[in-house]
Amino acid sequence: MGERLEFEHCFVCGPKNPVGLHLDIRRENKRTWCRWKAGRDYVGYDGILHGGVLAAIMDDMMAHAAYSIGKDVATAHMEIDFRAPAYAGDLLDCEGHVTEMGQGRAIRLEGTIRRGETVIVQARSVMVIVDSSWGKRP
Amino acid sequence: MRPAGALILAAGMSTRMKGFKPLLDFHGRTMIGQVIHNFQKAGAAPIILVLGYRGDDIKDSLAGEPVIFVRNENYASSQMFDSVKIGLRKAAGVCDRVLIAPCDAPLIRPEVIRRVMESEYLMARPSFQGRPGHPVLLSCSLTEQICGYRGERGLRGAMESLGIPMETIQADGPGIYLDADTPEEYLALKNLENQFTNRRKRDIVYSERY
Repeated sequence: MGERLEFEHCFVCGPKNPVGLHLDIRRENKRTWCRWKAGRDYVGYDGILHGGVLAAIMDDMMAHAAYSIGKDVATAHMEIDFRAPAYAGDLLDCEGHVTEMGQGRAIRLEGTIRRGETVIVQARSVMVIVDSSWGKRP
Repeated sequence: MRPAGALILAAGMSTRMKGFKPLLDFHGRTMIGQVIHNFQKAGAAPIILVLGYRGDDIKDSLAGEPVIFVRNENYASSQMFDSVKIGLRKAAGVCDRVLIAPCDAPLIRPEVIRRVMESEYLMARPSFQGRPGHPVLLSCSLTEQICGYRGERGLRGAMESLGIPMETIQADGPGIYLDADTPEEYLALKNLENQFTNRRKRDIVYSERY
């Protein structure tokens, strides 16, 4: 396997990022899952988790679903529904999966974050397969 | 992949549709033209068309297309399964296997047709979320058994009565069972096709952006 884009300083999943979220994402055959405890440093309003943090988690969960089939991807489009607030200290179950290999290099994916039975976030995205040379600073 | 012919059923009278179904516009083609195009793109050959009501009009609209025509002369008083039997007997003389579909299902994509064609079973059909659809794949060696069915459940009943394993192919959308019997269903099909086309266009734009 050649060089990959996946990076150990990733803000969401990178173990070496000192200010990252450190998600331990498991993945297999187009699916990902992980459980994460929301820290109080990631809030927007008092005690309520920041939506941008949840969006970052969804983005990563879906990207890892593409990694699980050996594809490096860049996010081209993402839409997100915030269904309920999540709070600092919540234990969140996150998942992502590929729904469709689209036309050309496009892959369609979905992801969900739940607290118990409560759906916190639902997301859909289109990611585009890229190679390891993608995104280099000009 | 073993070759298979296609048997398209177009003898009906479109009684619940205001217009004549096979010749309604479908994004620049006729409805039946789109169905035939999908099967040709999937590699199905030969294409056999069962005609009945306004058969000559359909034939004229397909001038130049490599299609074999057969007729159900009793289209006004018979069932779709009678057209299946007429078409199957024709198919048995020109191919080993045949894919069967109605003429008003233009959203059966070439991809799913190809996947059904890959089946090694004597019978196969696609299914989406537990609901079966078209095309149905039949070995022509079953023609006499199918045509001998005397029950009232049409082709599905005939196939299930044989007691032969049938492969179910998981489709990735409802196009395998969506047809256009009414003006409302026809509009819904056209809208779905628009959404599908727009998604494909967006995918290409995204791919080019990266």
